[in-house]
Amino acid sequence: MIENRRWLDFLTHAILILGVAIVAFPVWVALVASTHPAGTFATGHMPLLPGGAAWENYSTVLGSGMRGAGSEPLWRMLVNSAVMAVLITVGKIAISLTSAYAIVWFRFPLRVVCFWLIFITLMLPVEVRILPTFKVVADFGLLNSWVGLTLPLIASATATFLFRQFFMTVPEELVEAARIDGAGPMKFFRDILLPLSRTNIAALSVILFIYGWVQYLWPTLVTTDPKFYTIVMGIKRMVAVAEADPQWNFVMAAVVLAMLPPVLVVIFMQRLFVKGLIETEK
Amino acid sequence: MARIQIGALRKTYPGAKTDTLHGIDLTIEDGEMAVLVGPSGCGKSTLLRMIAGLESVTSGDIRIGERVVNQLEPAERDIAMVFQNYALYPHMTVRGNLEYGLKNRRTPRAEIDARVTEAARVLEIEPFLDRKPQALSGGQRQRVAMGRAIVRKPQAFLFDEPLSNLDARLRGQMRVEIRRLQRRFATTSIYVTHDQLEAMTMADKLVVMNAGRIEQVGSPMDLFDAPRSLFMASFIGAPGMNLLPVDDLRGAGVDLGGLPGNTSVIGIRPEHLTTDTVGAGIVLDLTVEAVELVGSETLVHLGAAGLSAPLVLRRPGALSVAPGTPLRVALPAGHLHGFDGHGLRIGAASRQGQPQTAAMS
Amino acid sequence: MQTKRTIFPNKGLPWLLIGPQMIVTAVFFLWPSAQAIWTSFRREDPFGLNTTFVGLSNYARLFESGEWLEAAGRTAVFAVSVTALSMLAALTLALAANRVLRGSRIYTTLLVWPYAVAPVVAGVLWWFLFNPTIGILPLALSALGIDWNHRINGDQAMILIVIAAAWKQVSYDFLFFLAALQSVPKSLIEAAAIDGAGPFRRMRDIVLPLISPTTFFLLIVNINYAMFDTFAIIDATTSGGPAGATNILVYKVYADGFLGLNLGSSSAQSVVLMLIVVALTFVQFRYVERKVQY
Repeated sequence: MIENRRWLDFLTHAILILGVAIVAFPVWVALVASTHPAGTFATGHMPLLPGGAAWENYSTVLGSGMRGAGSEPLWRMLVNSAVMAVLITVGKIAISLTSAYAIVWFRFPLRVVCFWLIFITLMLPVEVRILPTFKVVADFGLLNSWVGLTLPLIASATATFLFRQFFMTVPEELVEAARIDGAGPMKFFRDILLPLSRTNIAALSVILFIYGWVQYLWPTLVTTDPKFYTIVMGIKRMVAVAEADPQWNFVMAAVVLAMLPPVLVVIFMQRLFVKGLIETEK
Repeated sequence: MARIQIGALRKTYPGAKTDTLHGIDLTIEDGEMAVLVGPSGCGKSTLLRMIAGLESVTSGDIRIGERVVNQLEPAERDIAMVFQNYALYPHMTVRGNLEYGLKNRRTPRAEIDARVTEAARVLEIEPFLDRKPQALSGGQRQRVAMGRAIVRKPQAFLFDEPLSNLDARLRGQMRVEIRRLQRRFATTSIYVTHDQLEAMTMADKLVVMNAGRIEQVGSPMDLFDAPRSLFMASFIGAPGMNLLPVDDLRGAGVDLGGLPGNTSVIGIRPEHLTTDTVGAGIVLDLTVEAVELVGSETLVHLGAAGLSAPLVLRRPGALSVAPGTPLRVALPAGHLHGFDGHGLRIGAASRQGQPQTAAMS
Repeated sequence: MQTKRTIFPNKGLPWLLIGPQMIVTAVFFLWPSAQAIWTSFRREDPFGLNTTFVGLSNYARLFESGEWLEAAGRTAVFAVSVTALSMLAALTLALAANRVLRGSRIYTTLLVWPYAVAPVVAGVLWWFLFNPTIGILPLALSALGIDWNHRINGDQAMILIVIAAAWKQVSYDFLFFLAALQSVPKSLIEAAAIDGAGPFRRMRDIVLPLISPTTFFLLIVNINYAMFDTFAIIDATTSGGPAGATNILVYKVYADGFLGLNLGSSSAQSVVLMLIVVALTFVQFRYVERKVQY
């Protein structure tokens, strides 16, 4: 900045440190709680410094699940969450890439209608049309299945628009050169367009993985079989039990485990994450 | 190797009021370098892209060799194209770019390697084969784009303003280079440009287009010496021919001597105006308006009352004359071009003057 | 609509390419929405065997019922509080992060990760912190003479979900504010400094007006977020209680439909919510158009 004002520099850093502290505080408390034995919570207030039961707590929740919650071991829920997030990510990217490709490089009847129908999905969040959507999935017999869990979530207007936006910037001559080089539409898509879209696909994958991982309402509704429980909905069940019987150490261990994968993705792919977040909103 | 024949070719874009091309007839002989030139919007790029198969044909025929290619996909026409912005595949190495078309044609591996090696040697791009295009300079990219065309050994090369993204010096080099390669492979070529210097220096056959029609076809010197129309006279040559309406001259009381009766405009190239007025036919009294010293030559802009546009006189070397100076110039009869009321040339399209005086700098 | 100059001539292929998206869209988005609209005009008989067309009466009852209007008012309070809290905090942090020369990247990393925290988890974290028996915050508050129990006190329950929802949204707002601040031309700031404007005046007169398009965009996005994406936070913490104090519209649709099985009313609520999203989307795209013209 232009002038050198020591007090302003101090204030700036103070604000940032305070912000980081507030943002991190709940997680710190959760982390600490997950390292104490259950007895700590039965007797009084939550601790602020780590205890010594971390190994025991985490191995319990991961291995055998929480007593009384009637739940699966957490490792299974984590695997389910990962499977669901990956299926949603791959599904969304696949159908968005191909539909954007169709819209940009082909002329077909109802092309503009298709575009607007995809656009409309932006305005229909699952929370709003929850009951009839559930009914459709139930009628297809897709409750308690991976298809029912993921397929209704993979239509994506934002991803389609992002790819369309990007495809519009691909130089015309590149397509023409490819046609002269004997590449048909699918060859062009595979050999030229997909490699060119690599960064966009990666950035979007980060966002969509998080989107898939944090899904709550939908998995809660369509799965009643513990085999399909995801970690995010599992936590809600554990909380209900903990209210009656304080096993906060286990709940918080689960909370930490539920946060870890997507948070690590954001931290280690920050550049792609920021790109994905900002581009999808354009 | 093939001759390209175009017959009565028309292009109308859907919804457009007028045709983009109004029936083009053109033959390009085997191994010939044809240059399409004209002002922007004249249809030269559309014609090239129709030959390439990138634009559909409204009516008429395009033949490459013995085949009518109207309905064929670009890849089936056995042509290669060099684009203005190179259109190299950015995610592939130079080698990958050169190979891609061959791979799609299922050329045997050994053959691909041999052709790529050969092309890289001829174009001197061997050191860059494993680099990506963005690591190359403009000139190097241009060579790779050339290479992609060469390895295919097509029946025809199509060039779409390939040098317009390069700086002037590199453009000069690449002009010579492309011509050298084209002669070496003796491949029929069509080259689109809006730069008339490029057109003059590179063409075997120069095709000047205007408003969707071919204005004139011939060797560059034929077109320079005997422009068919006023448009040609002003388009070819830099600066263009001086054009003087006969009525203006008569109005100014100039003695025009024995011009054919239907002459409406007379023209003379800047280098043919002379200050040596002894025994000359038409003599004009003018005033120096501006002097441009180019180094190897001098351009003198001359004006007079009654003349709408100034005349330009070109002299080799430096000429020191101050603006405002009166100057008497002559228009030697042997170098005069006459045009009738329709803007068309009067008299045979024969060569006039001496070749050396007409040579381009 | 804009397309390319060069297009592929295939006729069947584009259908194959766009087909999957269209099928998913039709089956899981358009059809259920149409169902919701259809059902909203009908009423089930007490045995759930037949439905009859009742016109707009489901809507009429909705707007007449104090319950729904209360929920609407509550939603407005909630949305405005979440938006204001998260945006103010994010703007403050973004201004600070944009000012520091070194460490800006590290601060950014430390501030953006809550984006990846699931809303349920965010809810559980704050619910734990505010737990009336063992929570650390009620302990601190009682030292100030405040008796915290969000299980009984509706206002406190509302404060709890506002904090949890805002906490999760700060990272998103922060990133957009920071991107906007970084795109303010340095020359403008320098020109203002030469004109004698100090740091706060520059912020007020130059920076804030220049990032106003982003501010407006975030306003819409945040309202949208607070109205629809906070479902999980509420379900995990208060379940709409106590006594409906945190029962916002999107939660009520779910509660009336799934738990109360009042299909006609739930559908009418769905349709009203859809209209709200349509309106918000419309406003947002009007803004995008304006931005393009800038």
